Amino acid sequence: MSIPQVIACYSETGGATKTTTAVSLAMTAASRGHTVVLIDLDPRGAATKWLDVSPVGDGLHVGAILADPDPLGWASEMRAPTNWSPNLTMIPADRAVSRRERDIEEGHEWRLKAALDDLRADLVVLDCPNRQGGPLIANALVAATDMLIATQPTEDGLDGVDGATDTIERFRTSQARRGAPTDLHIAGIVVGAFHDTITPRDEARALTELHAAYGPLLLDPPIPWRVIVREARTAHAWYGNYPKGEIVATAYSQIAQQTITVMKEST
Amino acid sequence: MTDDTRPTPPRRKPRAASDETGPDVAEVASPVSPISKPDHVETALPTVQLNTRISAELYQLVVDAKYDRRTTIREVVEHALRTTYTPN
Repeated sequence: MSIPQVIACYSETGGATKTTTAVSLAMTAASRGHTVVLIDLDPRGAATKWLDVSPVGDGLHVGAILADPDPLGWASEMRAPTNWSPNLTMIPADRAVSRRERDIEEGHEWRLKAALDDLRADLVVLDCPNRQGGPLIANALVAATDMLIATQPTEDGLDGVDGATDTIERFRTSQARRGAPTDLHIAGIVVGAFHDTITPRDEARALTELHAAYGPLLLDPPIPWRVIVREARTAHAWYGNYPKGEIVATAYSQIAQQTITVMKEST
Repeated sequence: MTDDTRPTPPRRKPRAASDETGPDVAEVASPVSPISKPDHVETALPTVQLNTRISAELYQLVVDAKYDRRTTIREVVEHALRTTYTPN
């Protein structure tokens, strides 16, 4: 097993479908037999609550990695099983992760990457918080091989995409300035929660603007909005298990084929 | 030349953050009040408490004298001397 691909789902807007995208891609790959580790970097813990996962020990959530100056290889021991798939494990978040947002020790941004050392997995998916940089995002940017920007087709979502691309560019520039690797790749922009049956005018307009501004990066298809996703989250369940969720799972599967390396290779 | 036979040092086990059970970020973190305090804090001795009591009594007598409530300045001074020098 080689070094895993690390995809970070990111936007600077809240409610941009970052968590839905991260969880959906992780579960899609896991259900195809790939070994996946989902890491919740958001102190709000939306993905953690959705999968209803507890840390493997007291305080051993992702905050433990970010707090320690030498967490080399910790991810292997800290990944907790999920009820969804034997191939899907998770390092959960906790409200206490917010304490790490004030950490500014030199080199703190390398801790997550160090924790992933020797991790036996095909794919790591990071669910990022909606921040304009800062310690949590810096750790995601350093650890990630690919950034996947999630957005809703709204003006607010468009603003979040602008902010995310700006943050990524600033990160690349700062890495180049200090001679660090700058091969971070934008895997694309996923448009989630799209009202495909009756599309409101503002959604249609935002989609047009997204095409105009980020055409080549926009991934197809937009993910259709279905209430089953919200209901499944409340029930800590995978919406793909329900007939009404199939259309959403299929759309995310198409996004996964374009962005997840092991899925590209297996087709 | 590198020595490839050297054993790899064991990795540290994951451990929780040292502030895991500390105050929440929503709580005020600083234990120091922003209101300044004097560098030297006076120790409250019994004599100070006694004097405070005398002062209150004297104040009332002075007020009575001022408004001519059958209290003379002589009575004020006598009361002050009595309460000051008579053990409590």
